[in-house]
Amino acid sequence: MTEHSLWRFSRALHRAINERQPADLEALLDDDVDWAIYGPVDMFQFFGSRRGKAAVIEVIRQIADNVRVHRFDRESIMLGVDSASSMMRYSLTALDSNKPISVRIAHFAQFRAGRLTNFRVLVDTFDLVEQTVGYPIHLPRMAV
Amino acid sequence: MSAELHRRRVLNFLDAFYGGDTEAALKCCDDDIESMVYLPVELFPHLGPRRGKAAISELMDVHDARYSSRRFEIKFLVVDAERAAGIIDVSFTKRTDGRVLTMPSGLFLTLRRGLITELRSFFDTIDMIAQLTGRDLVGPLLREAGPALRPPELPPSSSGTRANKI
Repeated sequence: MTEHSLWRFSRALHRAINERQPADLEALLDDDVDWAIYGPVDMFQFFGSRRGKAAVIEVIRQIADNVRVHRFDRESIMLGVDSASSMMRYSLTALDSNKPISVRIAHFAQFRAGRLTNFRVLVDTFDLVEQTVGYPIHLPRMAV
Repeated sequence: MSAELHRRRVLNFLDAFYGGDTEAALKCCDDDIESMVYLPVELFPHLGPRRGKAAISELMDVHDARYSSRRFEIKFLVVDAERAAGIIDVSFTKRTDGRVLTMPSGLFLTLRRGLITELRSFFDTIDMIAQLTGRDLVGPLLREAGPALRPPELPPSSSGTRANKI
């Protein structure tokens, strides 16, 4: 039974971030990969959209410059033939402050011939930003 | 076979939910459906973990009261015999001022015997709250926090130190 592309991608992604070894990941990216992590790009440079293998490797390098992944727990996972999605809880350390960060993310991946062609990541950015600044964000009392 | 049935059920649910057809939406749901929207409860007290069809109905009532139009576009959907997951672009038109809010939403569903038993929704919460409230949440934080959280002055492709670490 062939291993699902998600598992190879996941191993390579975390190796690229924690060990700064992007070669495995690079081999699993489509040349024209479409990549997006939704979130405030003015606070986190590695959020936003990227296109193409080189741009994705660069954004992974930026992530590796900022955080170390300690663990992740998949709360939900869904595997299709050439697609996958997960909801996960990540435990990270911010490298500049050594501050622990725990954040929930959801990702949606599409593969073609074992290579990643499309990757979308949603992050609970409100929680992430509050942990980053270290205090609660004041929310207006209003009907939304 | 059940995967195809579940795909149709999910599509029917989304059509009904965003179309404001409560009866049709509830027909897609199990009586004990568990629902969860990952958003700050201080701003969204009607969300959080809920159980039963009434929670879905109440959420649709809230949407109907606040938004004159709700639309969705599926960007990604994968379905098997037990679960479904997808990412959809949703848009809401506020009744109060006519502003249109658009945002991606992640969906994770569990299905049993053709009915949705669990529904979890996920958003880029900062963007969603900023659009809903009409307030820039990040800008003031960047100004208050000082250089540690400000974006780098160098273009992304340039080498050098990163100013905006997590």
